[in-house]
Amino acid sequence: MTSAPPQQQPLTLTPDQFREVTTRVESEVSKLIVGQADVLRNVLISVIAGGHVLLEGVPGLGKTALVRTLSQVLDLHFSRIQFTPDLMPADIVGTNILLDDPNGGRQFRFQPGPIFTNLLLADEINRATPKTQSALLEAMQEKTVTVANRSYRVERPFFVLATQNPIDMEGTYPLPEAQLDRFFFKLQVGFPREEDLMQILTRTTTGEQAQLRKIADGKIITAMGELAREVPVASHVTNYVARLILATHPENQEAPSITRQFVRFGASPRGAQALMLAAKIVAMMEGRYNVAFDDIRAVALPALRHRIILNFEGEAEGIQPDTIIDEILKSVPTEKK
Amino acid sequence: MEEKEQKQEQQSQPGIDRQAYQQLVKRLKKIERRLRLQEAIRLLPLGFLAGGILGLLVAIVSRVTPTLTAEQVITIALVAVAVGVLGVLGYALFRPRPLLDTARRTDHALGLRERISTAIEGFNDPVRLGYATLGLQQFADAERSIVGVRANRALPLRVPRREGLLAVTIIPMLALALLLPNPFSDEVKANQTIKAQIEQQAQQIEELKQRITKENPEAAKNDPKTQELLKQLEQVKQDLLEKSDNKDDALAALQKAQQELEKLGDPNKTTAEKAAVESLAKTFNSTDATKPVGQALQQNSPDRYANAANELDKLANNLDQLKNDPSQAQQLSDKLSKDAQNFKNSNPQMADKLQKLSSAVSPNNLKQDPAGAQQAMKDVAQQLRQSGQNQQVNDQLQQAQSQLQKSEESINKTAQQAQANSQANRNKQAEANQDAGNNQQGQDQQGQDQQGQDQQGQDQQGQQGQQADSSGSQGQNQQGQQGQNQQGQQGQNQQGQQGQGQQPGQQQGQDQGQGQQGQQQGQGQQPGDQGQQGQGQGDQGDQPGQGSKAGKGHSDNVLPNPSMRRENGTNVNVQGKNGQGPTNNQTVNGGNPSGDASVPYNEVLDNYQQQAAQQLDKNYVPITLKDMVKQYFDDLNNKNK
Repeated sequence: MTSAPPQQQPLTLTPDQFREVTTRVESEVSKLIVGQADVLRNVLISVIAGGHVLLEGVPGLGKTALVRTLSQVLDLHFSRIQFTPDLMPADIVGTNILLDDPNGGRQFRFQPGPIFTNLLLADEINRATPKTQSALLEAMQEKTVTVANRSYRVERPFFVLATQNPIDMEGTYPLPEAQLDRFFFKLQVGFPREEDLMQILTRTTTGEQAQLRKIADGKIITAMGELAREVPVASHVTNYVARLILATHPENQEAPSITRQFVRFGASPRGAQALMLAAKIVAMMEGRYNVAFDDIRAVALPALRHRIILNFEGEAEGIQPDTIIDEILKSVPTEKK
Repeated sequence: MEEKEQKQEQQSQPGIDRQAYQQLVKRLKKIERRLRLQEAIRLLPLGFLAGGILGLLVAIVSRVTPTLTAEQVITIALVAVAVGVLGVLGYALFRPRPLLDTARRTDHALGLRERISTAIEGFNDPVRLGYATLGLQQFADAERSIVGVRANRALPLRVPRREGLLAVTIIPMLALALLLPNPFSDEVKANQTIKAQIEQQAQQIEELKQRITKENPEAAKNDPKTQELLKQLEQVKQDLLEKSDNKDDALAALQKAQQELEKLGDPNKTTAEKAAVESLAKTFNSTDATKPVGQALQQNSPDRYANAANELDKLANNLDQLKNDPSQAQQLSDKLSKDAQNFKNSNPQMADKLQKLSSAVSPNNLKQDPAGAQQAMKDVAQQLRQSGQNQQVNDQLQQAQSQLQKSEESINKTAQQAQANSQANRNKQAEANQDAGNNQQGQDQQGQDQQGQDQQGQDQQGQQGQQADSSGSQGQNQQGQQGQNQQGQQGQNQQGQQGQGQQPGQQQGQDQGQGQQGQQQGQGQQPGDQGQQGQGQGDQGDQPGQGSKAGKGHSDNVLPNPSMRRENGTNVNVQGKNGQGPTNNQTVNGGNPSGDASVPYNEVLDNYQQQAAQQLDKNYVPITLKDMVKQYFDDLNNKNK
């Protein structure tokens, strides 16, 4: 007689608990990570939203440390893959290996790769070949991995935090648009300010080690994501998001001139979803129960910058997607004309 | 309605108190009033600016083209400003605004981060907004955010600086544009006066038309001549109303209508018929038996033809008196025969009937065939009735012609007065400028101007003289600044020797032969009376005129009274001085320079009468004067006989 496993009650959170968790997580991570408050907040937003993050920054800015610290604070299983040109897809997703069975026979057994984790750090993702990069695609979107015609579910929650180096592009393979679109946010990790740098020096060159506490876990993170989705959004705010997204498309008549001149493809509907969901989480983090225009603006850059594909002229002129998004934010009015 | 509210109530999750919602709306309304007031203050300078700019444009346009008087411009400008201001106030304060729109504006104005609009929308449409889980907290959050708001402090009333400055700037510009004298003001007033006069004349023509229709409705329906008359009157009325902005067009329309009316009637025929009727009346008066008929025909009444016809009918029924007095009958027969000849051209039917009557009333026929005489009399009676009707139509035609002529005269007169007033105002202005130290020149132009006027008088004399047509027409076309040498029949001799210049754009020598030079003008005020000498004052000035262009004065169709004839003319020599403008000399010789006629008048009378009749047909001559001309020749004819 086997009894049915007890059905797990879904965890519910109050808005106050939501805010408390986010505040404590930020506070805890800040013990180790200095001068990257915005990056930390946006990574946290992505994690709550269940999205993946592409971190772009020069080496040594603490990207890996940030991810590792976050995994500790959130009590998530953490894996790290250093992407290199000779990295194979099987190195990521795992492979079937031939084993002797007790009956004297042999059989294949699936050996899971590092992708089977909660928090996957894909370090320097643009150094692997496109074939290997694409091994992440299915897991990122479908949360499954298929090996030898058999699908395996990755653990929940599952987040990919990929990093790439904006300089030293030789021998790299830029991520294809399809894969870029699967990242919830693309964050640019900037160089710390003077006082932050001094603090980093103090913390990392002495014997003192910050003790991190676990603030949340996977269930809480999932519950937070579900609660954030319940935040009401007024129709004119939703309309504003739609108009922002349309303004990134050069064929749209109402798009600003910079879009029409320098953009080849605009943001996808997935970008609109990311924008809206991130804005909801921002509202909750700020103790509000509705989405404001400011929330949209606050997350527009990380949500859209990797979804705007420049045309040749834009590339040649050195136009940054951030410039285009800034211009769109200025030109699109909050109220429809 | 209740169902809808209940449904809404049920949808209003999750348990938000309706009273709380109404409280929120109430607060929102309060803020809305303040928002409206704020918007009104913000838009006020724009409304003022829009109205002011419009007024300014109108003022500028009125200074470029003669379209509006100063009073009209001021009125339009003030109305534009008032409309602008009231328009924005009305727009800001009273335009309907949905509650959700107010909520959004409140969020924006008070920085409430879309709390209120989300709450209002969430309460009214909770399902679509996903208001289930966090609705209560969101609504409470919205309430909290608005409770502490003091609209008066949070929404200050400020006039936007840039728009306010612009509005203030436009005030003096507008004031200058409105209050500075407008050079076109007098001209516009004159045009408007003329326009009013033209419209008045159109009204009078309409009244005449109605009167004709009322007096003779049958003819208006059936008589082609009357119908054509009414049609012409309607046409000229429409033309006048359509062309009321242009005096010349209106006058042309009137003249065209007169020509059309002249075609309808035959004045010669009508006159001849009248004379024949008078003669017929005398014929009937000559015998006792027919005297009542003659008396009826001589009545000064519109019904005289009908009365005469009735009397004739009575006579037809009682021929005894004529039968008993053959000599009277013979006399009547003879005269009727002559009368029949008189009617031959003007009314052949009547001539025919009279001829038959003449034959029928001869003593022999009267005895042998009294019934024939009776029938002939009845036929003449019937013909008289017909003539009466024709005469009525002709009278109406004359009335219409007279009305059109009066209209033409009125319009001309009004135009002259208006232009003279305008001229006087400009002169005043010019004098004021001169007082301020401008050069004064051209005093002696007055004498030369008067020459032009005197020429008109001479021209009219010429009309009476042997060369009436040539001298008259020249006189009518004379320009005020052209000197001419004319010799009328009475031997008057005028010499306008010098043409005078006129500065372009200044003045025109108008009807009275006005000449101007510089900013002054000389005005000859003498009408062209016959025999009067031109009273030039050319010697008063020391300097000749310095105008550069020939004057453009023209004389209107002002005709002298031909009854004021002078037997002996005297030579009049009027000399002006040379101006700097082009000179145009013209010599017109009258028929006999010596002043003595060598041909007996009875030899040329017919010829002259014919020429006069032609001129009366061709040219515009007031109807009263036409009669006078005819009377003049009739008198001469009578003397001749």
